[in-house]
Amino acid sequence: MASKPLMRNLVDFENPRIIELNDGLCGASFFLMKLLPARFILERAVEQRALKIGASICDSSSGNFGLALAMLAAQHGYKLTLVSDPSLDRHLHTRLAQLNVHVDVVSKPARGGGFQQARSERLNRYLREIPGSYWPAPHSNPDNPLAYAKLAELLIDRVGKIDCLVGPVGSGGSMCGTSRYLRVPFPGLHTIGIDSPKSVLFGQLSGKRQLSGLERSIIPSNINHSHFDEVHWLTQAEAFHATHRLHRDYGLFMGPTGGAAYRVANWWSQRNPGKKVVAIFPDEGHRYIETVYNEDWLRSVPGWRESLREQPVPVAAPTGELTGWSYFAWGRRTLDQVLASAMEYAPLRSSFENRLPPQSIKQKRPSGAMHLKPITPPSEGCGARLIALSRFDDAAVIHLKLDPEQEQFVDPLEVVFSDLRNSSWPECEHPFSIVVRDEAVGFFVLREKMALPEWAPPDVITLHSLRVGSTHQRSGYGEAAMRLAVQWVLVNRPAVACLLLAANVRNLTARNVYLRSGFCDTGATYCGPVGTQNILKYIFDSE
Amino acid sequence: MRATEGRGEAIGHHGELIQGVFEDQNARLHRGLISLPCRHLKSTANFKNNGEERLSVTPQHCQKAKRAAELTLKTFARSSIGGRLTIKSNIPIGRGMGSSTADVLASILAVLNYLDLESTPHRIMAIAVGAEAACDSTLFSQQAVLFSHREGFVIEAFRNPLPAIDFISIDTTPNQTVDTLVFKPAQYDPFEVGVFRPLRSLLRRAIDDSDVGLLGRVATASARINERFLPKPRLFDIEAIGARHGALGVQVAHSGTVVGLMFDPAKERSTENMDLAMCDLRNIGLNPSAFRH
Repeated sequence: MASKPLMRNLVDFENPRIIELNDGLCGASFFLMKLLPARFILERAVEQRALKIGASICDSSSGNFGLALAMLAAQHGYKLTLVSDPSLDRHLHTRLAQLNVHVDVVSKPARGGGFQQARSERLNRYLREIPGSYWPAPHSNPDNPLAYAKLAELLIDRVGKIDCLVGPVGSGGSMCGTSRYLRVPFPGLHTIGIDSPKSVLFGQLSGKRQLSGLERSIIPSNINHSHFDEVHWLTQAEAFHATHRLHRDYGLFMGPTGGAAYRVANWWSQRNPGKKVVAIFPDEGHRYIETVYNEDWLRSVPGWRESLREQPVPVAAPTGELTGWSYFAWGRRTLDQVLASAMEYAPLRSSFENRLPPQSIKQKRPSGAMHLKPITPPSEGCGARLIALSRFDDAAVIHLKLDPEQEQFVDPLEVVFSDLRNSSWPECEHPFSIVVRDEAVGFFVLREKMALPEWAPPDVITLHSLRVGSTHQRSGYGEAAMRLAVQWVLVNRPAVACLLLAANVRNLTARNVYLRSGFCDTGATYCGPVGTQNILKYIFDSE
Repeated sequence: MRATEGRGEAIGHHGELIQGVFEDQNARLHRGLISLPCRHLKSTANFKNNGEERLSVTPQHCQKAKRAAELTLKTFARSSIGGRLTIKSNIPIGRGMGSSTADVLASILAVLNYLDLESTPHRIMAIAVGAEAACDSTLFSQQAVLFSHREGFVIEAFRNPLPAIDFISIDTTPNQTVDTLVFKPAQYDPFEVGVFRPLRSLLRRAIDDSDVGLLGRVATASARINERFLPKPRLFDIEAIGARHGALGVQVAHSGTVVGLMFDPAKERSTENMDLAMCDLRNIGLNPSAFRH
C-alpha cells in the first residue's frame, strides 16, 4: 500500500512503560504522553498536504502539547510558534526557547473573554499572517483520539484483557480515544475520567481550575462524554498527596494528574478484586519540582495540611459544589442527558450532599429510622426510596406481614435478622428498607463477596428475602424495589456486571415481578430448603 | 529415474479470523489476514508428464491453477516440461472458502513433487500470489501467520499454530457468489485503520496463549468492520443466537458469503450448545452445518 509520511524519530519516547503496582493494577507511565497525538496529528497533516515540509506550525499551549510539538519540530525540521499566557512555567519557557520555538506570551486578558480569548485572537493572527502555517488544534482535531489506537495496542499486548481504564481528562483525546479502541474487543470496559472541582468538562460550574494540564473553561469537542462510566473529581491537595504517594510507594516520579489517576485506580482496584485496571500517568515529575514536589510551595495550596478523604463521596449530580474527592456514576451518557437528569434531582440535592460514602454503610451506625438517610434518589412513579438498615434495625420493618400465599417462600424477618447478626461477613450483607412517604413498605438484603450464596459466581451481587408488606401489595412496590436495588448497585458497585436472585419455581407472583423489572431466567436452578429455585439475573453490561 | 507423476494437496478455509491493514517493521501499512483453515475441505492436484511441451488442465476452468503449475515449472525445471494437470476438489466455489487458492497451491505442490523438490512456504506463496492476485494463509499450518494476501509475504509469524475451533457454518446468500478477483478491496477509514492495532495485539495473545475466547473477540470485531464493505445478511441474528448458546464469537469470509459461529472444542457443553444454536438458526430460515476441527 501507499507509503505514508513518517515522523518516527521520537517513537520510543511516545510509548508508556507498564508497571504492575498491585495485583491487577497497572500504571501506564509516560515520559510525555502528548508526543503520541502530536506525532500522529503532524503525520496525518503531511499526508493530507495540510503541512508542507519545513512549514510553520502554530498553536496555543502552555503545557505538554506545546512541548511535544517543539520536540517534534526540532527533530523533523518545522518552525513552531506557540501562543501562551503568563501562567507559562518559566522553566518550560526557557526550554521552549532553547528549542527555537517562537513563544508569544499574551500579557493581557481579552475584554470579556479572558486569556483564553486573547490567546485565540493572537493565534488566529499568526495563522492568517504566516503563509502555509498549520494549526494542530488538539482539542478539536479528530486525529487526536485516533492516535491512541497505538496505546490500546500496547496495553492489550502487555496487560491482556482490560476491565477498567482510569485517567485524567484534558482534551479528551487519550481517554476517549483509548476507550473507544479498547471497547472494540472489550465492550464492557469501565472507563473512569478524572477532573477537578469547578472544571466545566463534566458539568461543574465554571471557575479557575486547579490541576495543571486541566486549565480550560470551554469543553473541547474531542471529549465524548458518552464514553465515561464514572467521573471522579479530586482537589489539588488530594492530587498532590496522591502524587507523593505514587513516588514514595513505587518510586514513580510523575506529574500530578498521574497521581490523581493512581489514587482513583487504586480505590477501584481494591473494590474490584480480580479485575485488570490500567491507570494513565501522562507525564513525569520534573516540570513540577518547584511546585508539586516542593514543601514550601505546597503550604500555599488550599487544604494541604487538612485531613483528606480516604474514600470518594458519591454525588447524585455533577453540578453541586464539591469540597473533596467525589464521584458520579456517569453511565456513558452525554453531558446534556446528565445535566437534564441533574435538574430533576435538584430539589433533593441537600439531602444527597450529606450522604455517606457506600463504604460507611458497613460501619456501625446508630439504629432507628430517625438517623437514617436516603441513599438512592426516589424512584419514578411511586416515590419509593431505599434506606440502608443495620443488622440491628429489625424494628424498622418488622411490621411487614406477608400474604399467607407468600409466607411459604420467604424466610420470616426474625430469622433474616438473626442470620444477619450472626453473619461471618457482616460487611458483605446489606439490608434495606423500601420507604414511601416515610413509611417502610418493603425489605430486601443484598449480598456480595464472601457472603454470596453457593449458587452465585464470585463477582456478582445477590438479592434475598424480598418482601412487600401485605397492606402495600399491588402498588408496584415490588418493581420499585427492584429498580432501587439495580440503581444502588449501579451507583455503589459500578464494576459489578450482574445482580442475581433465586426465585422458587412455584412463586409465580414473584417471578413475574422480577421479569417485569428486567431480570431474565438464566436457565440454572438450585435446590433449596423450600424446593427448586430458578436463578434469575439482571445484567448491567452488554458484555 | 525421475517419476512421471507428482501429487499435491491443499486445504480450504472458512473465511478469515481477521482481515485488515497492518504495519510492517518499517511502519508501512499492508493488507493482511489469517484464514480459518478447514482440514476436511481439500483440493488434490495430479501432475503427469506425458511428453508434451504444453500444459493442459482438467477441469478447464482451473486456469489459475494452470498458471501456477506453469510458473512453478518455469522457476524450478531446467528444460521446458508440459503435461496434464488434474484437479479434484470438494471446496465450494465463490463462497470465500479458498477454493481457488487451494487449487493453485495443490498444483504448485504437485509439480514440486514431480520434480522431487522441497521449497519453503515463502517461496511457494510468492508463486501462488504471482498466479492469483490474492492468496490465503492456509499453507502455514505449523505456525499461525498474519499474511499479506496481496503481496505474498508474512507480516508477522506467531509462536503457535491456531488453536482448534469448532464452528457452525452458515451460507448467508447461497444463491450468490463473490468473485475474489473482481471484488474491490475495503477502503478503511482512519478509525478502522486504528482498530486493527489493538486487534493485532489481541490476536497475538490469543494465539500465543491458545485462548479461543480472545480469538472469538478478534474475529467478531473484524466481522463487524467488514459489514461496511461486504455485509452478511442477518449477521446480527446469527450473533444473537451465538450469544444465547455460549458461542465464542462470529467470523466471516471477508470476500465471500459464509459466516461461522465459533465454539470452544474443549468445553463439554459445546456439542449440546452447537445443536441448540443449529436448531435456532434453522428456525429463522438458515441452513447451518457443523464443522468440527
